[in-house]
Amino acid sequence: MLTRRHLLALGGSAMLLPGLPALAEDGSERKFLFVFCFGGWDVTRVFAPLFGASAVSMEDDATLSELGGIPFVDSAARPSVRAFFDQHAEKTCVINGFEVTSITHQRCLQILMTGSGAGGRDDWGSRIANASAHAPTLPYVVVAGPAYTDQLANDVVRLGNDGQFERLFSGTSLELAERPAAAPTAATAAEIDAFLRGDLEAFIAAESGQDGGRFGELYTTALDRQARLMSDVDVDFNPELTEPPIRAQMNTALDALELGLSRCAQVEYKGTFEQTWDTHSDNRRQSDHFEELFEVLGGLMDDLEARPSPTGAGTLADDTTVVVWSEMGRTPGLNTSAGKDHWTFTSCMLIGGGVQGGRVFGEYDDTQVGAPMDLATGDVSDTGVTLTAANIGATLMALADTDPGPDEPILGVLA
Amino acid sequence: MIALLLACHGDVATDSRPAADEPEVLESLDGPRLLRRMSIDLRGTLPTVEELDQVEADRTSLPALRDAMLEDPRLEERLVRMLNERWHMRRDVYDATWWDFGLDYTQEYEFERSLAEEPLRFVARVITEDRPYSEIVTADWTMANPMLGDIWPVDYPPGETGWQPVQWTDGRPAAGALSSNGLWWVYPTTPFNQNRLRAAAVFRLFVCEDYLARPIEVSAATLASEDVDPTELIRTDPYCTACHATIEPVAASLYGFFWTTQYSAAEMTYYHAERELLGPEALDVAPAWFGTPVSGLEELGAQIAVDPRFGSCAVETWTSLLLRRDLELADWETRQRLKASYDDADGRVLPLLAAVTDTSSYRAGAAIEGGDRQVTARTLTPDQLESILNDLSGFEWTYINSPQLDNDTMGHRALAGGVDGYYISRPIQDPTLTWSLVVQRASELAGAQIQEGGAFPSSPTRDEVAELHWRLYAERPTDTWLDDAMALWEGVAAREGDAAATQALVSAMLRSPRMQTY
Repeated sequence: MLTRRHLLALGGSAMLLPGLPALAEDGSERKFLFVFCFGGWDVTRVFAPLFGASAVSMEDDATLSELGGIPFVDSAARPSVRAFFDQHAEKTCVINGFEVTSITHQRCLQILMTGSGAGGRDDWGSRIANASAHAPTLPYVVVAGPAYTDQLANDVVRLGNDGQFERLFSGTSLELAERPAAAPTAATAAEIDAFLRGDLEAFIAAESGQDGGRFGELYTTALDRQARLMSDVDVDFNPELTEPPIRAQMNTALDALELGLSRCAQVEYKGTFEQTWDTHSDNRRQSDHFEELFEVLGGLMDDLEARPSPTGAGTLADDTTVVVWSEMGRTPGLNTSAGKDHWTFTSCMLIGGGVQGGRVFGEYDDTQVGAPMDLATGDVSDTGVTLTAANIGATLMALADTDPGPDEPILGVLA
Repeated sequence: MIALLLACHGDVATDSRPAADEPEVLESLDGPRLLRRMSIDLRGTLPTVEELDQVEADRTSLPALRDAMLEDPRLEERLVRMLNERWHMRRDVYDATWWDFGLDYTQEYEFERSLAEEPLRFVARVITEDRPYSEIVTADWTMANPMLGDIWPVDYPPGETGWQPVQWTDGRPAAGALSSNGLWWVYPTTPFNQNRLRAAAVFRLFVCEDYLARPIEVSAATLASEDVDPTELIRTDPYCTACHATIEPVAASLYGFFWTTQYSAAEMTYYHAERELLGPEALDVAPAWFGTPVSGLEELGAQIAVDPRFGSCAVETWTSLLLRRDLELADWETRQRLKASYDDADGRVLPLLAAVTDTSSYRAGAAIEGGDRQVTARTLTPDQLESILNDLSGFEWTYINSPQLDNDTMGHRALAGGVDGYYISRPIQDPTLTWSLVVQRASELAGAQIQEGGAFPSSPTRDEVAELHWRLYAERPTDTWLDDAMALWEGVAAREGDAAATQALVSAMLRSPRMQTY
């Protein structure tokens, strides 16, 4: 837990910056929590009830159910899925059958999160965070999982695999060294900060209009954010491990959103016992992963409802959209090891305000290929287009009231 | 490769950057700062005060200093670190672990870096010994350190230390990095993948063809029939064969490294010559390199070496690594000149590195007109920062034997903008909050170690502070800056003593943008 004692050990330079906006900013714009499921989930275990499709291997004991307008694959082994849709279907939409145009994990990740496998693009989270009108202190906090940046690296705050951010911020990283050192006193830190800022001003003036000028300005922004964070912040950047780890990650992410520190946050779910979703053998593990995921999501919804919105009105659930996705799907049929291999079509789930809840957009045909969609309505249409990750990202941008650029959103998803 | 760039980035002609025939006006760095840039890139250190004075007095002495850097033994480490930014080798997780080899947990970092660096060190040694670069796919030797000498089948010389050239003792073919353990540990395969990912890695690393950037659109393939077999599709459907016609034959040549048991240290340690025949059988295709049959890894390496794209890729790789950006269409003429110098030098990289440092792009300190694609201020990578600090003061930031700027398990490599080889494939140029925190803590540690080690006077004079400014930034300080620096020192000294004051001043100087950019 980051305590005020730790913050004071960093120095009191926050007092040198009287003009900064209040930390608990007006968070009236939509916030996003990304729940990334690494490895490639099998959509036929929840989202794609392709019973009767001879090419698709469905579970023998699964059935088709529908709750709140959302048809799903129901199984006695997954009561949490049923419970989730029972309680939250009206604020949930599923998007089926979008394509990621690759079958390697890393390339699919990049395509999912940026809309392109070519590189040189910032991911949706950093773009949405960067577009915030409120200059959040930690615009896009990546508690776990990947992030892709090009021009917007400055807006992404990675917390590290093992509490590194907490240790850096509190200064305990100086003690965790084979040649430790003491952090400067508060007074010294303040003098160093003032000296450094003066140095930066001169550097920016000398390098104005060049790469160096940009570097200096972004460095100054980083220092400003650090100073703002030094106020009385009660965010646990390194909570105790939970089982599964995503629960602790979510606590940190929601703390950041609740306080208005962040507009976007990401956590990662790697399946039961962190086996990942990459079930090339024994596809039955997908059921366990989905059961645990939806149990966690149920808890998340309760937590969102319980936490106040940083606007001061309503709860965090009112202005947060949860995005649940995986970088790829899995093949329709089983392989010789009773597993499923990589597939370029997958699904995602959007939960929360701003989306047309109680609906499934898109569908799979009997070979588990995504059907074309009319983006204006979100309806399946022979004259529509094949959904891609870029369309999903553009939809998120539109939800964020941000220009999606050349990518087209699914307008029908927007409430 | 430029043509492929055009195909992949069709908006080049319509963006705001100048076309190839429009002149750029770039302002070169002054002599001392250019020397600093070369020293960081080629040695991982700052220039000495003597070197800076020499170049300040006579800029024409710079080429000789640069040439000396290219013969400096520290160049090899720099090449390893640079090449890693393309090969993505230095990761924290592999399919086999330190305990599989009977090592101690305190050796985890050394284990992970040793196995990953084997092929990188090998390539770096080919370069520093000024050998033809084609040896990286044809040589019958590699590099190993004592740890690898203990756990891998190599003839590490008894009584030696450090990285040494060695030969494999398990009869594997002579194919340079293609015969490397490290390469295939980082680029593994599975029974379902059948070496295809490895073939894609060969294309990307050695001829700069990124097959994984090509879109795979299943909707465009013939999937109407439920009897469709994907393994047949990749041989019959034109959309699939566009890539697989060349992937499969290369994959078929890599079966000596095919592991029948996943996560087995024994499987992953030795070459399996008896499995070479499995490739054609499993993939139903004869091994070949773009239509030229090969009988195994040695012939594969030989074909890669004579492929025109190999030399072009070498030029592109090392040029982009030194320029700290990808090459674009506007670099065409520069690229052609560099390729010519590489060819004239019989395909050796040392002359190429020298030629790159002579380009206006490398030397640019400012872009006056039309140069917005140039990187005129580079950000120190975590490994560069660590190397510089270590050279200044013997700086170390380790925990359980793991350098904290060079791992992500408990360290800060990714947070400081470094490449983790998995999610992060390029170093980050922009300062971020976490970068700023890492730099702050590293500077505080280094400041303390510099002060305690006596590398800087405990009660510095104004002239000594000015000289430190010169040493760190390759710039003479202004009077205003010196006034502020002395005021900082005096203020802290009055309150906490000289040692704390020196630590504070040094750490502040290390955090300066002039220190962190080059």
